[in-house]
Amino acid sequence: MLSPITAYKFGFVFCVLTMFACDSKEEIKRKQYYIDGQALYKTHCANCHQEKGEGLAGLYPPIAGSDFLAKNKELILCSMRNGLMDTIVVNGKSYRQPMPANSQLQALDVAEIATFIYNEWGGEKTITEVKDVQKILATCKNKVE
Amino acid sequence: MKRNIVQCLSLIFLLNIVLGCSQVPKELPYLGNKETVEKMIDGKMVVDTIYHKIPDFEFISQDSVKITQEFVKGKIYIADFFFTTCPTICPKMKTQMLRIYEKYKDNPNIILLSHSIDPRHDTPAVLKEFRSNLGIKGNAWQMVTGDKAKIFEIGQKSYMVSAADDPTQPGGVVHSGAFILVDKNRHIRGIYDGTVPAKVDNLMEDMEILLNESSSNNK
Repeated sequence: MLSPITAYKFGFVFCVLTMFACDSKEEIKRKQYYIDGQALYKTHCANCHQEKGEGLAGLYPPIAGSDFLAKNKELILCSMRNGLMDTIVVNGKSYRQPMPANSQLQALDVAEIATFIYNEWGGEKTITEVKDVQKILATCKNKVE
Repeated sequence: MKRNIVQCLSLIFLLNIVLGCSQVPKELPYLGNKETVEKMIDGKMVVDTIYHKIPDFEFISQDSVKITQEFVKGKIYIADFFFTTCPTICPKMKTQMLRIYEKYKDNPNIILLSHSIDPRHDTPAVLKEFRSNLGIKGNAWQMVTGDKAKIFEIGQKSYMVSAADDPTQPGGVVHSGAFILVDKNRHIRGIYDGTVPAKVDNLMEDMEILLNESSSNNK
């Protein structure tokens, strides 16, 4: 059994360590992606999906609390750039409004938006890497270019 | 003692000014070009001002029903221009218009009139589905389509907003996000940015002023 003082000491060391962990390169990059992704989200996505990701009525599906996120990451990445014409079912509700393409978005933009969305609402704690996004974008079925 | 009384009186005087000013009912301006004409009334020449007025129109609603000036007769209405596949400002406008709808949907004196500027795609059936997905019921919020040239014309000339094809823009059409407040006599009384919540707050305040304005105020 640890004495309370030792426990505090351990706690202190742990806190200091996590502080250093926060400053790791990985973490700085994740924060950068998150912040840039949030700005891009506000510009390109929030008009429809709203700033807090709640969507709009039966027109635009929610992203926050959506069961679509975890299962369809590749489709979502593709749709950010190429749009989506299909009906999708989110939380048991059908959405038919087409999602417009944003073909000006680069792989980095898509990676940053995905990092923001999946960290904010998808329970992820990691970056969506550009090189993974590039691979996925190359295989999208509904390419606009 | 005397000084105190003077101070006290001047304070009351100031308070009266402040309170008095806030009690003066705000009047909304008449927007657009005014023309003056001379008329003979009872053998006398009288100068009359003619205010800019929305002309007669005829469009088709989401229910494939003709919507004309008769539909808004004696009512206050808010007009805007959008299209259902618009990726940019329309969803913001619709989010804001939904706020107005929620507040006034049961008020028989208020109509919301959204014109599609992409009538080729936005058929009545498309508008009907869009509207129902937005959760709109009843007649308070009409979405209309029709002849594109007529819609662009009434937008530019009458509602004083911009709308034009522009292939370089996302969605292919450039248009303004304005909400236009029209009074019971089809005069424009205010134009607001329908993408900014605070401006839409102002619009709703002005709607209250118009609702209290007598319809006999015929200009």
